[in-house]
Amino acid sequence: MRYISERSTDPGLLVLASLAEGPKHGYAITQDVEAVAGVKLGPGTLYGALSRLEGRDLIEALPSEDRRRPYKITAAGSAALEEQLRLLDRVVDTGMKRLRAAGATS
Amino acid sequence: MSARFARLALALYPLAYRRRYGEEMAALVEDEGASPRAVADLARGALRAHVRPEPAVAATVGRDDRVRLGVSAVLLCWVLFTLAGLALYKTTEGRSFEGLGGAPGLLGVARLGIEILAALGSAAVVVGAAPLVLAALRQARSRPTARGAVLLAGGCVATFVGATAALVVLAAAKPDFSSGVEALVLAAWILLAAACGIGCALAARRGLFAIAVPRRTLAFAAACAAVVAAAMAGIALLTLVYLVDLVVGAPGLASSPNGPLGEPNARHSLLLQLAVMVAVAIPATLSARRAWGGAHP
Repeated sequence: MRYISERSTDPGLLVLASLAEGPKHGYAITQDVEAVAGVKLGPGTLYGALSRLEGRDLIEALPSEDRRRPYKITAAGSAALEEQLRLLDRVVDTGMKRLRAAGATS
Repeated sequence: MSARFARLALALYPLAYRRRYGEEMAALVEDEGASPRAVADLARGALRAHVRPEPAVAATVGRDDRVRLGVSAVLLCWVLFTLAGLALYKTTEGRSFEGLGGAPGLLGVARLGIEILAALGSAAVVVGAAPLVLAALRQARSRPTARGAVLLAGGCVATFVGATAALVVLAAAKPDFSSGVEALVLAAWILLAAACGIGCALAARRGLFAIAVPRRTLAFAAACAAVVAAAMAGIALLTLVYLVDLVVGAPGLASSPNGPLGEPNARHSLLLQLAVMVAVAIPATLSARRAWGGAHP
């Protein structure tokens, strides 16, 4: 089992989840993340995440449109996203069950 | 106003990031608007990019540009270091300090060592910069950016020389100034010297990226930058030795009032100068290493 790091749950996860829908450029990613997760990614945070994801071959840049360059998720990125979402799903599921059980006994 | 701060924050990013993501980030800031929170986020991102750069992005900067970056950063550090060095000179210029410095022992050795390393560092700056300045002057006619850099550097040097000449003439006239006015004049000269030095260093960086320089010349500049960084580290170390020996061997002198207005005392002045020296010598050493690594992969 791999150790989870701070980077595993950083904005990179939100970016990967956004790109799972299809290629997007920076502004479209921030809009999508805000709509889905209710958090705003600042420009420094977003491009920090994009550079890390690109460095790990989890996303790749597409040819630039004007000054806005779209990114798409790679096969490795999809696999990493799926793995993390499964882990989170298990945590959410277990946490909710425990909360319900605690509520029933109190 | 925030848009200007956003551009400044973008400029804080390492060269590799600016080349790779600069246009996109600028477009995003234009799309979203440059709120103060966005500016702060950019500044944090820039700091992180410097402290923990993504290897794949950092690797996009070529060898020669790594030398250019490292060498120009060492020059800027040397300018800032010189300010602390000048303050050290002023702090220890009194007759009592000179008596101690001339005496045999650790204090005298430290003082002599500082002077030798300061001369060595200055010589390395001049020797390393000379071929680059000549190249910039030769190419200034055909390259507008290089011409701008040469003019900026020349203007800074001319301003500094003019202000220093005015100060010397003023001092020779022996005006009947109070110590407060003297301190103000000196502070104004130091500020102007700092501004001119920083202007020169920034012009050097701009010019260095605008001209074609043979790899051998860049390698020589990197070697000189290593000498400058080593001199800075040595001076900082000897200043620490000087400070400790002064506090232990001459506590009265160490706590005596110092500076133009009698504050702070000599020990605190030296401590502050040492802190500045260390704070500048560390990035200088890292930059010299980057320049050396670019020149000798």
